[in-house]
Amino acid sequence: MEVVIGFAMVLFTLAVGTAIGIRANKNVRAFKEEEHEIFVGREDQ
Amino acid sequence: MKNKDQQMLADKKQLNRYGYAQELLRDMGGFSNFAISFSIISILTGAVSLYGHGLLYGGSGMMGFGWTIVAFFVLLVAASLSELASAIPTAGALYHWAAALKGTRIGWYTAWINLIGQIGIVAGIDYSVALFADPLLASIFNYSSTDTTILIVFGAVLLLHGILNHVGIKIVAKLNDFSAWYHMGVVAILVVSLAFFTKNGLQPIDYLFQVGKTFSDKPYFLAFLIGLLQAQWTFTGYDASAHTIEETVHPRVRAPWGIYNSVAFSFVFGFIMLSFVTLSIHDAAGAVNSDNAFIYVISQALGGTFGNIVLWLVTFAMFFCGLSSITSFSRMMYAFSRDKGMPFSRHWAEISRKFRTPAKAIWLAVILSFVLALIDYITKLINPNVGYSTIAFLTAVSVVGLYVAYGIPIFLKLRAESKGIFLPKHYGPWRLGKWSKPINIISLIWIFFICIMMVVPPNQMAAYAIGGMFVILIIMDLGYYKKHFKGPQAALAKSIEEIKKLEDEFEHEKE
Repeated sequence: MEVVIGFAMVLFTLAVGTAIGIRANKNVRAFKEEEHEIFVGREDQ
Repeated sequence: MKNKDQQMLADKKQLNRYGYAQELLRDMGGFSNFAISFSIISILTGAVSLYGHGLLYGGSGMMGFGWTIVAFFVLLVAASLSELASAIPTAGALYHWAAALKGTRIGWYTAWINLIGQIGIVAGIDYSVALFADPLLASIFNYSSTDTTILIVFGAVLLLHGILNHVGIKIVAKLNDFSAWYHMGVVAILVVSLAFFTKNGLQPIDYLFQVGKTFSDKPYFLAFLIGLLQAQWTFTGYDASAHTIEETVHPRVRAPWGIYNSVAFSFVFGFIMLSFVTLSIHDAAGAVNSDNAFIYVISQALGGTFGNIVLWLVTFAMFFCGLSSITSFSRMMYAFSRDKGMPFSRHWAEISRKFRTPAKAIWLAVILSFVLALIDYITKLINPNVGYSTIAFLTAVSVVGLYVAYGIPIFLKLRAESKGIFLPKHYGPWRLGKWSKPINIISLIWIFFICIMMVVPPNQMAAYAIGGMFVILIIMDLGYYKKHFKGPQAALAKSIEEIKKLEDEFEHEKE
């Protein structure tokens, strides 16, 4: 039983890790510089 | 798509917007940025040097369950930090984020807590090198390994790391890249050796997830939680990708990936390695009672000579880990001193014109790390029956220091969002969208929980050390910095002409 739970946890961690990576990658590709505003800093000189 | 020169120009302009000049040499690519964090996490350092700790408290199940549980939550912490690195890409990282999100004083405290953790991590890693190298050297040169010889080897390793870091980011970056491949290669050698050449065969897979048996005198549940230090200490130091952000090309994307991927890959490689090492144990009681459980297990499984070769390979991996950790530590000190947050800041913020590295900050990192281990050495000379190990003390200090410093900006970002100060437009390219908030909250709960667990007895000495350092911080803050520390925002007062002039000086020096 412990083995099943253990491997299920490993797979779950891998799945969550991959899902976060995919989501971040999607957002990186969709990023638009003109919509971005610097937080505490100067705007473009 | 920009070419490298265009990208570097854009990166420099981006840094200038925070009021900083491009003083450090921006030469690191995505792999180098990943490699520095992967090398500092170093599954061959944390998971190996605290293998005995994990086994003692959590038994063999610590390697299957403990490693996975910790990795799951650390992935969430890493994702939270990645977002911040993408939004505010400066070398000060945690402290700059905290200062930007709330104010200079909280930023100042974050920096110091981060520094305490960094001292602990450098000392812990290089002490691990000494713990492994000294017995190996003792068998070659025929002397007895003692606490004193370990301290001497520790000092020599620190010295070597100081020199290599001083002479340049190019050589360190190359060694970091090599280190990442080296770690994967050594894990592969270890796994293949244990899979095919172990003397007594491997245990059934159930052994990896066997819970309920501890070799300590604590109840199992508590012992298991104490044993998590093994995995939790391994997963530290990945903020290095953010500290080297001003040396990374295309940092708003590459540094967050460096943070996140270093944790993800360490989980996978670490799990494979720990599985095979644990399944090769045939005398767990003997291992936990030995001076070094990992050396014991490998020697039992692979025999003297082969085992020694593997142990030398592991020791070199630890050496690379220490090298990277001093890089990260010195960059953090450089950035903090640039904003005048430390005594004698002018020195620590000074960049060597010849090597373009923060040379004095590097040597301060070396000295502070040595002093921490020296204090512990003297404490044990005075009272030999302290009941904790030096490595557990150093690692607990680093885990608590670093994770508190990780948690502060995550909390402040949540707070700033709820107050409508930090808005979606402020995020950088690497962001989690709607997932951000729940991931941040779970990360904070984990940080709170793990910081408590890392200082419960027998590790209470770490709590005293951190508490003592915190009292000193309060005195420093109230006595001087409360009035005088202007924080990273002060850099914005610098005109663009001043910044350009400074950059020109470095460019001319290069020519």
